[in-house]
Amino acid sequence: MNQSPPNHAPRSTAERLQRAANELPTARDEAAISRIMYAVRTRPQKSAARRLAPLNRPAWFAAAATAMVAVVVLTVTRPDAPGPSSPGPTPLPVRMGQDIDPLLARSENDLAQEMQSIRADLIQLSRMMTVRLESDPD
Amino acid sequence: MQREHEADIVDRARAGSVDAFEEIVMHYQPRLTRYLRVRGFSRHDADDIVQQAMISAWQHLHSYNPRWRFSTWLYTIAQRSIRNTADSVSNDGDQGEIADDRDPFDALLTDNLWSLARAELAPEPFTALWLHHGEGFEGREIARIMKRSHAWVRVTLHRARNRLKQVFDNGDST
Repeated sequence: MNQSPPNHAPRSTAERLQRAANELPTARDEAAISRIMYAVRTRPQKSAARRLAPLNRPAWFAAAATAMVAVVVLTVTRPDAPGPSSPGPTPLPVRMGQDIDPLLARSENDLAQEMQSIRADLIQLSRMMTVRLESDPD
Repeated sequence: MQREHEADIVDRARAGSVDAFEEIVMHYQPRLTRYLRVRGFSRHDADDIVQQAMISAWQHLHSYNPRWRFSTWLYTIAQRSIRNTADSVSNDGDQGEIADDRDPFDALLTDNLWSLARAELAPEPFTALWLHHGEGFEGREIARIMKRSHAWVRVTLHRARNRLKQVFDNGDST
């Protein structure tokens, strides 16, 4: 004949711990809750901003795309100006040049030639001024 | 709180409902406070840590993964809050006095089996033991809360219970 142990005699350590845990009250502190809620109400929630983000995505995406295109165009079409000892305008990188529009490449070449021409004019003007200064009597 | 109801409330809170989050606070604040008081924090420190945990939960609701119970996520945040305030809180892991401000809860805890458990066990095994028997968390949930492996939790719970069993057998204090 089976006899179950009485209720007041827990059979295992786990049961005794469980029973002891149930004896402890869960202190409810209304003041603490009020403080928490005040803090929560006065602080922005990051998730709210995160949810609003998709609404602004087209504008953000357009700005980023524009900036990226500008960087690419400047990188491709505005090489560094040639130095005094450089043989001429820097040629386009072959790999990049194959991918860009022919019209864009022609514009780049025109711009480089114009820059070269201006530079030559400036050098010529500088020489003329030097000659004039040296020939002027004191 | 029923799990479906809780999921609904959490969804509303994630959508920005402060009222829904208030219901979460009303439900979990007492449990978290008790969890901290049992671990030895004073009433004042426990209130501060719970408040910090709740604010952090509100600010990071978007990162909650419904794969886990909300309580697991919340206790994980509370555990992190404890670590963050460990320097300013003097009683974390202290096996000495329970708290400086005596109140009815302290009296109950002093006469409770858990006061003996806290005196006999190191802080981490005690925490694992309480999360399991006092809060009803499963091993995997405790592992997540405590940033430990599931195996560590199982072994720790087993050893902690054996240790307490020895204490009980040698002299019952209850």
